[in-house]
Amino acid sequence: MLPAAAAPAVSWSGFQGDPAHSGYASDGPPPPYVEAWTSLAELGGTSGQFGLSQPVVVGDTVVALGTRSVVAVDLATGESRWTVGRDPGPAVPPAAYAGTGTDAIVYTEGFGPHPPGSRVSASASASASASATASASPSTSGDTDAGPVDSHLVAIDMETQGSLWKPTELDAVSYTGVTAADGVAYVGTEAGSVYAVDLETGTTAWTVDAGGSVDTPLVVVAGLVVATTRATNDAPASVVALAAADGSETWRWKGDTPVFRLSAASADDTHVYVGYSDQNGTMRALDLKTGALAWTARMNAAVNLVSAPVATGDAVYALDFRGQLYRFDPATGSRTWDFAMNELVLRSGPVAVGDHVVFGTTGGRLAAVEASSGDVVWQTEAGQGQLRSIAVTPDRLVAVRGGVQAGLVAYDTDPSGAIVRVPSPTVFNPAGFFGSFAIGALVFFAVVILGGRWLLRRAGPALATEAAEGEDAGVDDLDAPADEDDA
Amino acid sequence: MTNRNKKKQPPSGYRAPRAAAPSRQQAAPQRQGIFGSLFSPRSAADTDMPKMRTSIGRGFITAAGTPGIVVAIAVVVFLEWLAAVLVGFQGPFAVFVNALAIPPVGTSFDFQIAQGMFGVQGGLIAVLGFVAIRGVIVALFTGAIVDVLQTGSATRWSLVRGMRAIPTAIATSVASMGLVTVAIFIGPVLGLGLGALLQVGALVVGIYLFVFAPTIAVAEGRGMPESMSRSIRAGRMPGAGNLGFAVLYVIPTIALLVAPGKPGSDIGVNPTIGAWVFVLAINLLQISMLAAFSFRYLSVAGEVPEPAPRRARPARTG
Repeated sequence: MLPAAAAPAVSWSGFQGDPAHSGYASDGPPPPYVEAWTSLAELGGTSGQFGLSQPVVVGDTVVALGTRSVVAVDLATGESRWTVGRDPGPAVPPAAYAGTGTDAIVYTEGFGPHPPGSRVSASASASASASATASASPSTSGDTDAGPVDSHLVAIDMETQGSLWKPTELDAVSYTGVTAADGVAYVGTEAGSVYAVDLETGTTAWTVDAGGSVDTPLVVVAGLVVATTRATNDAPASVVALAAADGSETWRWKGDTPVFRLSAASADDTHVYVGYSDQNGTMRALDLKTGALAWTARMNAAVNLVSAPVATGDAVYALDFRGQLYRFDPATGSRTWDFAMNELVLRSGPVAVGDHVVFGTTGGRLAAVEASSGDVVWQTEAGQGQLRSIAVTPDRLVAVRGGVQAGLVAYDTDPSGAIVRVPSPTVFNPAGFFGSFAIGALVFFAVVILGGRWLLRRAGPALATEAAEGEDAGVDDLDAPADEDDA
Repeated sequence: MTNRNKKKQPPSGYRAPRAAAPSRQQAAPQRQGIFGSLFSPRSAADTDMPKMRTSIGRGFITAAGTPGIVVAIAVVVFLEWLAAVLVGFQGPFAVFVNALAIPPVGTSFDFQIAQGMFGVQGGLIAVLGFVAIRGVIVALFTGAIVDVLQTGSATRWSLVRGMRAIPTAIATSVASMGLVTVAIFIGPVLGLGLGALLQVGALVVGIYLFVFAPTIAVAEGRGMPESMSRSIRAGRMPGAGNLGFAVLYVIPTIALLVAPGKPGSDIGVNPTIGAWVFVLAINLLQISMLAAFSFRYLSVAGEVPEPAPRRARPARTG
């Protein structure tokens, strides 16, 4: 066994940085930013479209999952440190943890019986969700990355990339990624199971049925494991809190409006926050101890489901899929400000970096919003491929870029860059508001009234009066009975 | 060219249909009341209903050629947007292309805005107020339109005349809201395709049955039940093409609402000049269609079959 590490090296340990998914780093580089490096990832295959997972940062190494490999790059240069193969599986967030004497990465593998690009027979569909072993053998064909692969949990040593223990089998595909806290890895599966696995031995400490498919990262906070479940025929989409010690259900909040899915959750010391994809999108805060609904805040669109709100303790930030960032008061849910970027954000969430909130868009733009004012203070132009899943270190931001040139991209503070100040288009601007209307209305009046009066003179009266009928008698008849042409 | 020909007006050769022409053929006896008009057999008479393109053209000329109506369109849309922004609505401004839409298309807009402002549950209550406001706006515009169609100009008395139609216009909006609500609740049960079809169908049926009611109330001074009943009978006149005309109005309106990339599609409370011009222009077309429907009714008002007199109950004996 290796000697214990001198100091914790894990600085961004998993989805949104920590087991509570706070998405908050008090110590991080402020804007303006400049691109430090880009590291391309050769993803390939049908599954290459999924890009890399949320990166984690361990010491000076950035680690992310592709669908068929685990890639590690140097935080300073972006050069590849190592790449190891993995059984094909969803590129979902891994977790980094400091094990006994070594830093390690724990992640899930396996697409189950339906790898991307497969065509599954009816008989395979019937047995799709049941088996946790590789014996599930549906017929697949076509351009596939791989055949069926059972789902399991794997841990590797950061130094040697060797397995730390025998893979732990899961009962179905896992899209939650792994949340590691206090020596335990927590994983959810499509079958609705939540697993707690000892990170020292790989043994399953407990498994419970959450009551619906679990497909967003699990929150671990204050002795609770919080999962969001999809709606089923029998139960609405729910938030369920399990005791981290034994998996017993502590509370369950059932959605009050029918929705199929909830967003990933995050938490602070008092509340669990979750996005609700009802008609216009809402943010819900649940009491951490009881699960009671504390407040509901309206948004203009739903939070994208793979991101979670950011909880810094004195603020909650949420990003909807139309690119509108909101700051809410964590106690009351009242909206402090919002910024409408008006650009699609389909897979990304924000991160809070010191006094700024940073997020990427599907169009490839990176923007920094001042936490106190809600003004954008720095942004890039839209680029090639979506920008998402930002990891924060004290000196550098590392984000995932999708699209043709998929990979990782790092940003540093740019000492020579300029800070701008762009207020949100949702802030009432009297000059713009009234000025635009005045000019627009003048244009409208000029064109319509002049044109309309001219047309009216040409057309004459609408309804023929008795006096006019005699004079109209010889006029060309444009008004044949309706049934001649209305059909 | 003879002097007679020189005097001929208008020079375009346009000839509008006759107003209040006598009915060509008396319809079969109608049942009493709103539902009587809905379920009684359609009359066999054909009609002088103007052609679709004539109706649309005349509707546009009526709206665009009347400065008061044009200014009112801009003022009403501006005030609605200002009120929405003050209440907390953040857009997109483009949804206001339906600010002056005819119920129930406009009623769907009311649902959307109310829920955008007050959330799902609060919106269900707020929409009642919105529907009432829409009723007032439709009535006042109808008053002006009917006066322009009948006399060539609108005055402040047109508004007074329009106020007579407020109860009818509100009732029309409420009935339309009922149709839309039923479609919203039943739609999901039928699945995505059929549900969407049902919702579009509800809009078409609402226009088809109730669109003439405010015009009837203004032009003929009839009460609310009678105006709605008569609107249904007018809508169902055979050969009038009213169903097709309703479809012609509803489908492009929906298509416009969901079309991507139109000006004002972004979230924001300060619309651009282009967005204002676009939204005002579309609302001009909405009022033009209201005028087109008024024109169609007024062109055939005399042909609309009257309900048969209610049969007296036989006197009880003994």
